[in-house]
Amino acid sequence: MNSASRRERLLAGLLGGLTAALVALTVGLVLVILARGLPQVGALLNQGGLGAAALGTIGLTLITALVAAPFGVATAIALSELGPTGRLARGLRFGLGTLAGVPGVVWGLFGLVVFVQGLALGPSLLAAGLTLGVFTLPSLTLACEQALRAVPEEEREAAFALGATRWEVITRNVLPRAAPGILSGVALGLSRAAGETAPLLLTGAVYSISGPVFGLSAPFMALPHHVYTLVTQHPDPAVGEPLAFAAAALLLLLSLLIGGLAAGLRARLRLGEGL
Amino acid sequence: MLFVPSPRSVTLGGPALCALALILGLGCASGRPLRVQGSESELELIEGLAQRFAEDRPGVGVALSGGGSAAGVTSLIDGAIDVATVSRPLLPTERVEAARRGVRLTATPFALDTICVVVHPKNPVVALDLDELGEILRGETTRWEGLGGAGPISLYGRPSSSGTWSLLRERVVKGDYTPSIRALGGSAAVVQAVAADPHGLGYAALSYVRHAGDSVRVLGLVVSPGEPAVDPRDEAAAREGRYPITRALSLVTLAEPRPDAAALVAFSQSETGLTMIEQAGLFALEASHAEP
Amino acid sequence: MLSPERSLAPPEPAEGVRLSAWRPPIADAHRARHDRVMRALVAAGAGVVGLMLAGFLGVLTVKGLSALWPIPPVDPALIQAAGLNAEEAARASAALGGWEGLSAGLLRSARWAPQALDTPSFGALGLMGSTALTTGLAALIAAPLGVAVAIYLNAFARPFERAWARPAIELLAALPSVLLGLIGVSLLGPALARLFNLPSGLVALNGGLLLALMALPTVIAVAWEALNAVPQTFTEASLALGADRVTTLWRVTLPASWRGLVAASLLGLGRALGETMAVLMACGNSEAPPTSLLSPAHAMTATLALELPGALRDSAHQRALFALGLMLLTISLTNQLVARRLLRQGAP
Repeated sequence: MNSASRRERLLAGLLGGLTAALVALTVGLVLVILARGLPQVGALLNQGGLGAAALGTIGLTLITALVAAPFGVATAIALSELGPTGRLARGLRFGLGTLAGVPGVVWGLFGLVVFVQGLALGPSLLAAGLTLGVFTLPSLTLACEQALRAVPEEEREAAFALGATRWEVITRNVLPRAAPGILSGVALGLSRAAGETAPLLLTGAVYSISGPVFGLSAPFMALPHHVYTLVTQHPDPAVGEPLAFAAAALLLLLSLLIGGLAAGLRARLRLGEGL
Repeated sequence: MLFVPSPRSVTLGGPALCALALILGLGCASGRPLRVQGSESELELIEGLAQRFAEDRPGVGVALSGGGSAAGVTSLIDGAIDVATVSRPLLPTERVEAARRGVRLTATPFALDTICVVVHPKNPVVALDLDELGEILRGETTRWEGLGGAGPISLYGRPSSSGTWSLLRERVVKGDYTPSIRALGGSAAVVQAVAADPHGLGYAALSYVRHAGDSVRVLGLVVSPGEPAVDPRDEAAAREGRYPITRALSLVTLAEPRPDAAALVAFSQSETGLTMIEQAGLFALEASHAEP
Repeated sequence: MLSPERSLAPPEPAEGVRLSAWRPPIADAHRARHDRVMRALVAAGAGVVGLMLAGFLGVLTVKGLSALWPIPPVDPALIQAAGLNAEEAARASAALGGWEGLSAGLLRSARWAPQALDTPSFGALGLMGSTALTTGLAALIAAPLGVAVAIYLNAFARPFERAWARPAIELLAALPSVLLGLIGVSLLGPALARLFNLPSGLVALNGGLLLALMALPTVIAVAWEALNAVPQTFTEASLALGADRVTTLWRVTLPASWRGLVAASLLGLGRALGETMAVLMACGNSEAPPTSLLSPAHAMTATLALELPGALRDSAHQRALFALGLMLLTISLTNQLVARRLLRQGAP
């Protein structure tokens, strides 16, 4: 017994040490980026295009949300509420599941062929936003479906028993109960899309803009792409690297903000449920 | 009472519609910007030119991106951009592709640039002749010993989409580069890598080397044995063609460009443009001196 | 609102029939129509998504397979129109036309030289080797480490430790890959260069370490779920028989969940395989195939990002790049399929 418990303590200590090291490394990485980047942000917001890059990323995220959220939630509703076991539904779910792991750069190829060249949108905010939208769709849809399926069957049965139509059951009973999960799924997808760089390299992100360049059909700057160009293309590394850390810190804050927003919404909805 | 449509769907739809209207509104507010893409060796200079160009013309926006001369020409042939910045002559493949697509291109040289060969400041080597440089870049010479230094040579260069890469190949390598050259994203990265590597040798555009100051040493090049080495920072040598890897940077447009594109090309040859080119450390070319 | 004729209680469903598959009788025509319209809208949305996914696979397959088709020689009239001299004409013809199809070269040669002076060469073996090296290293680090962390969280961690570890792992998962690329260039690279006395820290090892960091959250999350799926009664029975936690883990928990753990490692591998920015920024991108972990590498994803913007439309170069994209897609789909199958089989 005594030796067994020493074995236990040893293993627990070893595994616990690894876990603690990983947590410390993660927190350390975040702190390094913020510590090296944040002091530069204020001074450099007007210089080096940080403002334009931040604006571009916000625009991209909005388009991504407008593409991915409605279609993703509709698909999740169809999968979970309309015909969860049909052959079509199963095929769609299978397709979404396998495509959720496809690399971002491959979605970039698709965006280049279909949106930039096929639909002749050119390298533009719209083409890149659509690309990020379809890139986010599979994982977002699956997260939403999971949230919908977590709603207990009795909830639906009770509403049907009161004579509700299926749509009424969905909007009045299922969606409110699943809303926290859906929102967090959407937010997670958006924060992933906001940080994605590879598709932007192929769909129209630019190094710098001068004068009024903003719009759906215009090229754009974006924070993650800007981090990349500042590191690899800036003429003076001594200037480029601090700027890159500033852009990195802004990007990190933005993705943390989206995540935090979702957490806050979740908390509020839970409160509302109690009332 | 129980089954009126949920007000929640209205409150969720509201912000979404507002966001859509905002994006569309902003999209219509600005005109079509001038799109410039190409060589990364001249990115900084073109950025400065574009900024001044846009400042003087309210309502005109310029979007600039790198990717290399090849990306610029490819996008121009595709109609995705308005002006390509190119740091080498158009390639035969590009001219055939333009002919196939029925696109006529016009190149306007606006500055002379030299490709500098740089090493770490602690490296005792100060000059190479062209054959030696060719052997190094082809991978036939892999150590510094025979050249006056010590240790293995580690090479830094640019990807094959770069104009600097293809010009150096035509003039010096005259074959294929050794595949062990690290291809870095831009001239800046090459200079930075060589500054950190005592055994390093890299090639980069003149303006980037000037930025680097004393962190790297610029090698002189000996064209034929017995002659003195020529420094790439020597303006007269560049203008007279004595420095062997001198090139004209040019702006390429369609033969009938849109008016702002033509205006940008004209701006690069204006008084202001020429001053900015000289300030960037390059040698300006006036229209009359341009190579054909 | 309810009509009196209608029964409030739905009929008893047959045994085993899900209630949601049953269509309630609706008296109110307006509500019934509203229901139908909205359901049709939702189904149409799902249909669009389905078509989009099919289109995605179709487009990439067609573009990727275009590398198989021969490219005819260049029309001499075009060469004349372009005004090329004899030498230029020879180079342009060799690069642009007269390809019998690239498929064989792609898988037989390691020479990737899209702009070679004589005849361009598109051998992808070197690129595939680079990807295998960086991804393999990442998987070798992330799989054991991730499973170890998952075991700790499942079997040993106190509740407050779990409460701290979960958000930290989610944070690591949420770090954009370009940020890790930045870390690789400006912190990890110089450190590696000092440590191994290298000319430059932009080597395969650098990219592999970054990819391991990116794969870890996936491995941990899936492995943790697999371990949690082992019924508590199993472990309790083992402990009640006098086995300690180590024996229980080795003899009961791991044998019951190994499929899930393998799937976790595969999904982590898939994450590393598709990463672009870290390998693009931190690996040095030489054209030569890597000879060791300390030599530069040029991964498939990085090649796509770097070269596609400069590849002429429909040229051999562009076709070869799309073929690389199709290879990446095929590998990642296969990997997903195997992992999902293991997860399904492993579910109790």
